[in-house]
Amino acid sequence: MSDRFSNDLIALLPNLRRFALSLCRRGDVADDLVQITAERAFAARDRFDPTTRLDAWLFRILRNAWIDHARRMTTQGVTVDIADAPDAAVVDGVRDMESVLTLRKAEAAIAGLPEDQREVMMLVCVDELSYREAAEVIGVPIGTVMSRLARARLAVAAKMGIK
Amino acid sequence: MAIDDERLMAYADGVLPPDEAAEVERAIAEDEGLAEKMAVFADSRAMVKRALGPAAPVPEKLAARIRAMAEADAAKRQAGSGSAQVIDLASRRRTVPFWQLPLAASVALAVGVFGGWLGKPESGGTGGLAVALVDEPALVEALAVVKSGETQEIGEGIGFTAIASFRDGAGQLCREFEQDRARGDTVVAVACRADEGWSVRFAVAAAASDDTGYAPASSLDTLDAWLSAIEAGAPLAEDEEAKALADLR
Repeated sequence: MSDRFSNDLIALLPNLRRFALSLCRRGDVADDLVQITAERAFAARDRFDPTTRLDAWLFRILRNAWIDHARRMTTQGVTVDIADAPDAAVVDGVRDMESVLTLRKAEAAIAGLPEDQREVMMLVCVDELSYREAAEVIGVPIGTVMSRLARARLAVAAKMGIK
Repeated sequence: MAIDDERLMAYADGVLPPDEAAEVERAIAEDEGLAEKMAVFADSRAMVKRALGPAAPVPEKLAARIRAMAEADAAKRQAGSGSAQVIDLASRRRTVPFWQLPLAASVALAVGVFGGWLGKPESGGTGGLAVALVDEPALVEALAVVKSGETQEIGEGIGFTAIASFRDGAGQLCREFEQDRARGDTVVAVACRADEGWSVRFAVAAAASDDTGYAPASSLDTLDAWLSAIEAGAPLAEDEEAKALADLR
């Protein structure tokens, strides 16, 4: 099977799940969101414009799935599953202890951001969407993305002691 | 013009048009505080990117499910270009996706409590179904002639839509259909053909939550469970259905 859409989608699963985790912070829910996203993406694949970024399109589907989910699960508490923290696999021998601690602090600072700021941070700084692409994923004006992102970055920097 | 945080950030990200970038550069050259803040924007992005690293692989179970989805999608696309189109039960139904339904959307009643819906046959017309044997001439006629996917009026304000035909585990011809009354309920039902005529084997009345008359998906879940219990076969293709209906006459 050489189907570019399917192959690209499968290659993006880790990014989709990481974005899902940044929204819901629970591994099981993130898996469900990724699965729903894939289902909806295959069902709607004829509506995808191949001149645009597939990840941005998929992030938007996933975000909508998350909103649907959140509406139905209003009683859910916010918990972070440590094993599912996005960095779980990245401690390697090259990094010394201090930089690992620094990065842990950065993660904690990101996790502590308000949801709307964390989301733009993930989309722009981590998945490298443009401001406009992020605005389309979220469904807000580009100016809103820029102001949330600027606040998020200043807040993380302040927590990290960067001046 | 003052340089606000957003423009400074856009400069740090390298996305300002050249004339605006030049303006920010001039401002930075004159203001050390602004230069420091620009560095904060640049550092924070690099820091966040490094802190989160590459995305971890997804659990194998999830990856396997999605690979299966991709294969099913590929198979479906291939089948779609073939000739004999099978009537797809699920897609023929006029359902609303579950996530668009109000939580209160409810199945009003199922087989056995069917009487509530039958209760008031206005003027003894084609208002109802008989649970055991169907003796409404209009309904019997509709079951015999309406092709799946088509709608026919079988009485004043009563629409009959054939959804699909299939055979049950015993080989009996069955037809799934919806009956819509102008005001109120949609009944999703299955009638099967026995020697004596059509009998209604399954029916769910779904209270229409709005004027679309769509049956809530939850009632169709009940139907799906029932269909698997009677070992319903795949929906008949159009030509098979036409032949099966012709054979009844």
